[in-house]
Amino acid sequence: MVVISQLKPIRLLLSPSLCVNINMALAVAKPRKNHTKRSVEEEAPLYGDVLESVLSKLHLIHLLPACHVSKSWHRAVSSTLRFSSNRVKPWLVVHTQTTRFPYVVSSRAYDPASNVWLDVEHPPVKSVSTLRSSHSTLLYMLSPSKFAFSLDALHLEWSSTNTPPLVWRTDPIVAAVGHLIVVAGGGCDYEDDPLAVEMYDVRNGKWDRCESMPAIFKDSSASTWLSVAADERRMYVTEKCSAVTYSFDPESKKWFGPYDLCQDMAVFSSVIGFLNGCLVLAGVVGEAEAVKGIKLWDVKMSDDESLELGKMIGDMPETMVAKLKGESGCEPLISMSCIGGQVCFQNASDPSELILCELENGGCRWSSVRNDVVNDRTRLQKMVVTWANVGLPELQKAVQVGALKLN
Amino acid sequence: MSTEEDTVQEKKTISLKTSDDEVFELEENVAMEFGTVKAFFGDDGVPRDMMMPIPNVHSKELTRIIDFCTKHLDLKPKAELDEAGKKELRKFYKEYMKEDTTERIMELILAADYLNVNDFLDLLNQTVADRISNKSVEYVRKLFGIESDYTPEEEEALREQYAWAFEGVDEDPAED
Repeated sequence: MVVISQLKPIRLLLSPSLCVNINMALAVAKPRKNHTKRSVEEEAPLYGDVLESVLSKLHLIHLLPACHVSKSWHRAVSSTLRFSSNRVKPWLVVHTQTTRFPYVVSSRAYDPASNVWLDVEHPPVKSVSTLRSSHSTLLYMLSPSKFAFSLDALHLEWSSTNTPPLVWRTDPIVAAVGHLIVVAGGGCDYEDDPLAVEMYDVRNGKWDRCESMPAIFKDSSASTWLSVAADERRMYVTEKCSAVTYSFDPESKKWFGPYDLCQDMAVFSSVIGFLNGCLVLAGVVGEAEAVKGIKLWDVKMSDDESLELGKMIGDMPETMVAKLKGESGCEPLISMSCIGGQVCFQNASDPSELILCELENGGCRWSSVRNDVVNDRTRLQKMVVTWANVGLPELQKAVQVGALKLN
Repeated sequence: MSTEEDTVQEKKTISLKTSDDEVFELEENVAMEFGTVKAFFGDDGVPRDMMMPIPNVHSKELTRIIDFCTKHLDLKPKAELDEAGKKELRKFYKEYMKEDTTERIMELILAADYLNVNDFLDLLNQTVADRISNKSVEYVRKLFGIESDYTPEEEEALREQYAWAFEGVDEDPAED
């Protein structure tokens, strides 16, 4: 007698059926007897684990039709997305704006999970002024008479405030903190207070005045000299050259700091962002004309909300640094965008290569992607990079409104 | 009843008995590509000359699985050596399932899943995925003979809201 041990349990098999109309939990195990008598027309059903394994091979965008095949397929799609977290990654969106009237904005998105670039056809954006982004998920345009912003993932929807900020600003820092949009500094010289801070409440459409920016930012309150990060509670501002940092609390409308985040004397420029809910600082090492590298640090926040530099969590590989610097020979202007555990480094002087970093298991995984948008025409245009959390609902909506095309 | 192990030759073989009572003798290295077989014989000395029944697998599927594993075992080490090897493996993956109907692939999936042949299963799943990638809802339903389990009202609402998913990029699922 053959002893069967360690044999894999017989798989639950549903007898072949044309109709997947049965609750999978009630599937009954049936050994496959009389296989040769099975009708040629009958098709082996695709369901359960098998269906999920097949679906897990599809890119997010191709899962859309699969959602609607039947209720069980819909469940299988949800399940496969829930359990294959490495397949759904945030998208990078590169926006360009032409420098001549009508200042058309075009967008192209990159999905790191499938390594695919897609055009995003959003409704024409009525140009207000130069397209900008202070931190990773907000796009805005500001002119003396208008302030327009976009907060949704793929920036398909734009809103504008009824009235512009009270203070005339050329290049303030702008951040979305929860339902508030903070506009700080960048005021014109003849304004009484170039360091003025205002807040726009998205819910009620009202502007509010707050405590002005700290005096230390007097000569550098423009977005060129400052790096901004924000979470749901606060906005953080770092002076790039000194790494001196302040935080702004919209609730009390007050500034807190200064916090000195300079530790490594070799760092000449610092930018900040939020990774996995924690503040991080990226320091550019070397000199403006001779960038040697980029390092990433954790920023520790104590109970009283004061900040200090923590341990180093990443060091950009030399090959990536070279790619980022590019071949233009111009002084690199490095900016950083973050979402979740993903970082994107971009060089405004030569945006042909985007350097990505993914935080995983306490370490960094570096990669680079050729910026598909860069060509001779776009090289002279304004380019802004944002991150977008694109899940099935965002994708559905985008395809429905014609912003994304399945091809 | 066990088949006699061929103790004269150097290569060891494993015997498998299919659902249609056919006995296959495989080279041990090929048989060990089957996770189920590997687990069955295990480390604790289940004698290799014991015949293993695989009642859920038909000889037709087993023949094909053996064919894949044999070819794959030959190509895989070459792919690790150089670029030409890698190219050959890629080509193998691309061409191997080309002629098979979706129905055939489904049968192979069930067999490969039972036998735990991961490399083949991966290829089979990818092949099905490629065939339904970006196809409309109707195409997929026809391909697998799936009837919508939505109520007529739900179905109509879906078609209205997601019209784009029900149209376009269709080819005739010309399956035998």
